[in-house]
Amino acid sequence: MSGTRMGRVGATILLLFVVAAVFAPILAPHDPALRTTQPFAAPSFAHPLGANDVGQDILSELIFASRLSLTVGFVTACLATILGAAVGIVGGYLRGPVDTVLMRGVDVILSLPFLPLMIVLAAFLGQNTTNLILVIGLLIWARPARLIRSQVLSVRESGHVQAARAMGATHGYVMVRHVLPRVTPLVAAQFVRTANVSIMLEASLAFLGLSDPFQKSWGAILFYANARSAFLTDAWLWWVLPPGLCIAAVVVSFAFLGYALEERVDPRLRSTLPTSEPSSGSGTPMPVREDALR
Amino acid sequence: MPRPSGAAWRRIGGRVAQYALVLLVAVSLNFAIPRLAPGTPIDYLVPSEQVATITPEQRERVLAQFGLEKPLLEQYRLYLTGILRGDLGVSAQQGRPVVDMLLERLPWTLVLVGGAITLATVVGGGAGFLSAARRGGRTEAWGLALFMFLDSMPPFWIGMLLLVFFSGYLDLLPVFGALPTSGAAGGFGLTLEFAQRLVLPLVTLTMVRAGWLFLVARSSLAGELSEDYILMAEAKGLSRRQVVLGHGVRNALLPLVTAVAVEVGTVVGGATVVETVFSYPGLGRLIYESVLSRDYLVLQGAFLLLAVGVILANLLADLLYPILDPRVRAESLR
Amino acid sequence: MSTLLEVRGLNTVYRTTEGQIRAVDGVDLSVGRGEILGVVGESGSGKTTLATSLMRLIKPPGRILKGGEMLLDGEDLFRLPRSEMPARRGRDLALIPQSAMHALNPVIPVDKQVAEAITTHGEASRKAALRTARERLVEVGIPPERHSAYPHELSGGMRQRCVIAMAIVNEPKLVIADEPVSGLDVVVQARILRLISDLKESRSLSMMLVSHDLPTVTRVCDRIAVMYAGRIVETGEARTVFEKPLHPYTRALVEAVPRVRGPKQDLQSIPGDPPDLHHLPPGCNFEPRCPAAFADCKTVDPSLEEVEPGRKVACLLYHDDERE
Repeated sequence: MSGTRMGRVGATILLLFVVAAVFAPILAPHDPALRTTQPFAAPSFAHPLGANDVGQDILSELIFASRLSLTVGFVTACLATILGAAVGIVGGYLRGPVDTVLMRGVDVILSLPFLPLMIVLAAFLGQNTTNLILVIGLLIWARPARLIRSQVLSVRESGHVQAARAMGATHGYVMVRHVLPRVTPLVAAQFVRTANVSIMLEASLAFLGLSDPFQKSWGAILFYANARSAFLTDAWLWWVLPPGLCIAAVVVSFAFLGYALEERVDPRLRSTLPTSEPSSGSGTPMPVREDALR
Repeated sequence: MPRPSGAAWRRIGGRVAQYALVLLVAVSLNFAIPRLAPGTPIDYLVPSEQVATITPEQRERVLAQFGLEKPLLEQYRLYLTGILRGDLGVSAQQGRPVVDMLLERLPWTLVLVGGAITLATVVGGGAGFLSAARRGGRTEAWGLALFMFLDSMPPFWIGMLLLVFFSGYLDLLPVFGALPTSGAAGGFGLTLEFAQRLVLPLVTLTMVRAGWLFLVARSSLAGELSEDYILMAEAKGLSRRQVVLGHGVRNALLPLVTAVAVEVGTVVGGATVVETVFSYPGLGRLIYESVLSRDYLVLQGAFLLLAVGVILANLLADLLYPILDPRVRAESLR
Repeated sequence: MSTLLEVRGLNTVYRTTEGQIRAVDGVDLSVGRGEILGVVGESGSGKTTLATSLMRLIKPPGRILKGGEMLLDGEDLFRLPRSEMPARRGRDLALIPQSAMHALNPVIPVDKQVAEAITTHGEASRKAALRTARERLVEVGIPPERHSAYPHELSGGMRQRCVIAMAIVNEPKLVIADEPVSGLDVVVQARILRLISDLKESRSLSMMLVSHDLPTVTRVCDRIAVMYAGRIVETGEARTVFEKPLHPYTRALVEAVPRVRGPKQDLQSIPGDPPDLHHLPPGCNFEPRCPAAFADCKTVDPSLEEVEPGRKVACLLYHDDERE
C-alpha cells in the first residue's frame, strides 16, 4: 500500500466517522438512552448489534459515542501538538537556560505517569468532559515536545541552519523557516500520535468507569460490557468487538493520514513500495540524493 | 567510550539533582491536588461510607491525626518528612500502612512492565529496523500495516479479546489473578502458576507497545540510511549489511533510547488497564481498586511510586545518551 | 598515457511521479592512468548521478540501464554480480561524495572510520589498520592529536581531508570526487585542491573530479568533459576548453566566471532555466537557452563529434556535414 493510498484510506475512514458523529440523530435507528428491547437481546433485524444489559440498542450507542470520542481526540490533539511543537522547537533551537527550564517542565510532566495521574485527578476533581480534554491535553504535549526537541538538536547542526544563522537571520526567522520545515514530518506524526493517545486515554478512563457518566463513549460501552462479563458469552461478538473496532479504526485512520503526510513533506521517509504497475505514477517517490532533479 | 572524568561526574551529579527537583515537584503536586480539589479533607481521609455519619469528635481526631489543622507550610513540611521516613499514611479502607500495600504489589508490576518493555523493544524495535533496512519489499508493507494496527488498538480491548479466545474458547489459561486465591501449590508449582497468569497480560501489553517502537525504530533508521555518511561507508567497500548494522542501526539507537524511556510512563499507564482486565495484582489494579473504594491515600501513594519509577527510567536514558552519541557528550561537557 | 577507465553508453534513469527521466543519457568517457578528468556542469546536469553510477551505488527508484560498459583496467564492472561490488569499492575505485562535510559518521572517531576502510578489505588487524589510517591522515594534513576526534570536533576542511584519506587509503586505481571543495571557504578550497594535486603527483592518482566550477576544474584537471542535461556536450584538454570554448553552453559557463582582475562587471549567470528532464526539446537540449541557435537546432539532436584531435563537441555549429 503506497503512502498516498494509505492517506486516502485513512481520510475515508475518518470521514465516515465524522459523518456518523454529525448525523448521529438521523443515522441511529433508536435513541441510545432509551430501553428499546429486552436486556442482552441478541442481534436482530431491528437491533443489528443487539442490546446491552439495560436493553439499549448497541448500534445507536456506538453511533452517538463517536461524537464524544472524536471531539476529545481532535481538540486535545490540536492543543497538545501546538504546545509541544512550540516548546520543542524553541527549547532545542535556543538551548541554554530557556531549554533547561522548558525541558525540566517536560520532565516533570513526563515523570508523572499520565494515566494514573489522570485517574487521581478524575477521582478528586469529578468527572466531566471539559476537565477530561484539558487534563489530557495539558499532560500529553510533553512527549511530542521532547521528541521534536531531540530532532531540532540535530537539525540545528545541519548546514543550512548554520548557514542561515551565520548570515545573520533572526532566531525567530530561522526557527520558522529552517527548523520547522525540517521537523514538520515529526510534528505531523506527533499530531497523529497525540490524537491516538488522547482517544485511547479517554477510552481507558471510560473503561475504568471514570468518564462523564452522562456521556457514553466507546470506552464507556466497553466498561459496561466488561462489568457484565460479556467476554464470557457470545455477546462479545456484538458488544465487545464493535466498540474496540471503532476505537482502533479511528486511531489507525489518524496513523495512516499521518504517514501519508510524513511522506509528502519528507522524502526521506518515503516508502519505495512496489506499485502494481511499474511507473504507474502515484506514490512513486522521487530520488533522494539526486542533483539532476533539483 | 567516555572516560570517567571530573566533568562526567559533574554531569551525572547535575542530572541526578535535576531529577530530584522533578521528584520534589511531583511530590508537591501530590500534596496540592487533594487540597485544591473540591470538598473537605474528611471526604478523602475516612472510608466513604462513614463520611455521612462521622461525629464532630471523630472529625477533630482525624484532622489532628493528619495535622490538617496546622498551617499549610507546616503541613507540607510534615508531608515531606513523612515521605522521607517512608510514611505514606494508612489506608482508610484496610487500616494498613500504604507503603506495605504498595511494596506487596510492586514486584508484580515490575515484572509485567519490565517484561513488556523489554519484549516490545526487542520485537518492535527489531522489526522496525528490519523494515527500514528492507524498504520496498512486500514484507515491509505488511509489517508496517500490522504494527500500525497494533499501535491503534486499545490495550484493554486486546486483553478482553485474548480472554475470549484463550480462556473462553480454548480454556488454556487461567483468567483471574496472578496467584490462586486458594490452592496450596508451592515452589515450582507456584512459579508455573505465576508464569501462566503473567502470560496474557504480558502478551497484551507487549502487543500494544511494540507498534510505537516499531514506528520509531523504522523512521529513525530510514532517516539515518539516507544520510551521506551511509553512502560513504558503502563507497569504502562495506557490504550493505555492515553499513546498515555498523553505521545505520548504531546511530538510530539514540532516538530509540529516548522513545523507550518515554515509553515507560505509557507502559505503566497501559499496565493499569491491562492489570484491571486480568485482575493481575499489581499497582495498576491497586489504583483501580482504591478509586472504586475511594481510598485516596493509597491512590496517591501508588501514583507517587509509579512516578519515581518513571523518573528513574528517564535518568537512566539521560546517562545512556552520551555513551551512544559523542555529539551529546561534547555538548553536556561544555 | 594508457587508458584506465573506459565508459561506453552509460544510461541511468529514475522513475518519478511524472514518468521516467534519463539523468545520465548515453555517456561515453575515458580516464587515463595518472590523469584527472574534470566533469563540469550546472546542478541538474547529471554529474552526481554519473559519479554514483560508476560506483554502482544508484538506489531505487534509479537504475542503470543494461547495455552500458564500464571497463576499469579492461574489466567490465557493470557485468560483475552485485554481491562482488563491495569488494571493489574503496579498493579498485573510491568515492569522495558530494557534501563530504556530512560523509563522516558523527558518532565514530575519524581514525576508526578510515581504519574501517582498510579492515573491510584486508587481512590487516585492527591495530595495523589503525596505524595505516593514521599515517594516511598525517599525509593529508591532519595532525596526530586530532586523529581520534569526532567529526563534529573538526573543521570543514579537516573533515574533507579525512574523507580524502579514506578514499586513498586502499590505493584505489581510480578516485571519483564529487564536488570535493563545495561548501568550503576559498582559502580552504585552494588548500584542498593543492592536496589533490600533490596526491596526484606523489601517488600518480587517477581521478574523475566532478564540479560545477569550471575554473577550479581547469586548474587541477588534465582534461574536461562538460555535461548538460545528462549528456557530455564537449570534451577536450582542460586549458584549451577553458580558453577556447566551442559549445555555446561551455562559453556561457566560462562567461559566468567572475573576474577577479580587470574592469568590474556584473556577475553573469546563464540565461534561461536549467533543463526539465521530463520535457526535453526534440532537437538540441540546449537550444531553448542558446544564443547561437538556428532553425535546425529545433529539430536535429547533435551527436558528440570530433572536431579536432582530442576535442569533441555536440553542436551543429561545428558539424559541417549536417549544416549543409
